[in-house]
Amino acid sequence: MKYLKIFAVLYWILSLTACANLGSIRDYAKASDDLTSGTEIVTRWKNSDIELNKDNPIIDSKPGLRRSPATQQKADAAASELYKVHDALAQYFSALTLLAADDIPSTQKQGENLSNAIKDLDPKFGDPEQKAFKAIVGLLSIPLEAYRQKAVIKLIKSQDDNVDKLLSLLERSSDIIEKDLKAESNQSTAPYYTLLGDVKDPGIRFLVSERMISIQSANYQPLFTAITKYKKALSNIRDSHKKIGESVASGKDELKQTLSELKVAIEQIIAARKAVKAALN
Amino acid sequence: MSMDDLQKSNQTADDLDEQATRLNIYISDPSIAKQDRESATQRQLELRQHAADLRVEAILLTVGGGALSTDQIIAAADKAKAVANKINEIKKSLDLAAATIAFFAALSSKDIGKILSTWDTFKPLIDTNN
Repeated sequence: MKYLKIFAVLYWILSLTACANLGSIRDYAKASDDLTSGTEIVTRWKNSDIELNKDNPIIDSKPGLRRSPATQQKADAAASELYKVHDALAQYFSALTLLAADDIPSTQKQGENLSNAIKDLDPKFGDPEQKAFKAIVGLLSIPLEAYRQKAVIKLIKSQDDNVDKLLSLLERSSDIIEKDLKAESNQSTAPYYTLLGDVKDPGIRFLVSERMISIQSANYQPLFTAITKYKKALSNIRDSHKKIGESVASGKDELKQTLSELKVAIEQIIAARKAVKAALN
Repeated sequence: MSMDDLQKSNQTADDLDEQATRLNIYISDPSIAKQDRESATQRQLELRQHAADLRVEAILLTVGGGALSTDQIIAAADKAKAVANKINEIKKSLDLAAATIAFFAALSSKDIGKILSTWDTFKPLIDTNN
């Protein structure tokens, strides 16, 4: 009995210390999965000409198409490649979230069910025996925890170069997408400048130039704010991944420090996802 | 196209957009003949089309270098999921053991209600373990 109690306490302490490490990685991976699985910005860019030439209640004339059919075809192909990169990163972070989930190695429920079943079969199987049995089954979670920790660390270290490459690629593409959407925003004001050319009345000119054009440009502001946050979040995910990989190699203390610093990065990643959803859904 | 060429191409696209924006002064000036303003409007769109074409090419080129990493990272994610599955398999064996014992306990009690309810838990576990 005495030994079993010691085992139970030991198991409890070991499982607590082991699980605490991966909580931040799980939150980081979950936030990164959410961000990388969102492809709204790519889709918005792909549909640039459609959005640009949507009906405008203020002015009838259209800004015109910025892409020839051949260019649009290439844009579609580029978007589908970007979707693949998003999907690969999302699959990776989803696997990392799954492995870092606290309930993965826990055998508490199994210990509970087994001891209840045995008690039903044998009435002599009393409370002290049940407690001891649960503790023994619970001990199984220690090697499982070690196994999954090893798998998490191996995954992060082995994929750091690929994560870095794909996120850098998304960052560079997002820079270009941002500039292209700014060009779209500029082109969206073209009908107003054409209208200005036909108007001499200073009052109407003021209304068109100071109000209508400003409003048209302001319509794009949430989109650009979202893209800025999205780019920053991509860079956060990349930097954090690198730091985790490096601190794993450096030792437990550095890993602990890195994991405690992840909180700010996670908040920024979540905020970026919200901004993209708000601007584009 | 090299990275250098890519940078130059992006710069050219920026310059073209800037030129297009500068034409707004001309397009919006009523003192300029309508025909000239229309030509400027057309020119503005052409400049922006050229810039858009360069940027699409630049994205295609940028994303083209990621195919190998994409495959590798998906393979690694699959392996990680397999590890999680292995852990779950072990837990499933314990679930099966618990359900088996519970079912035999119900059989020995000869309580039909208990037998049926434990069978409901036991059967799906046998099915998934097969």
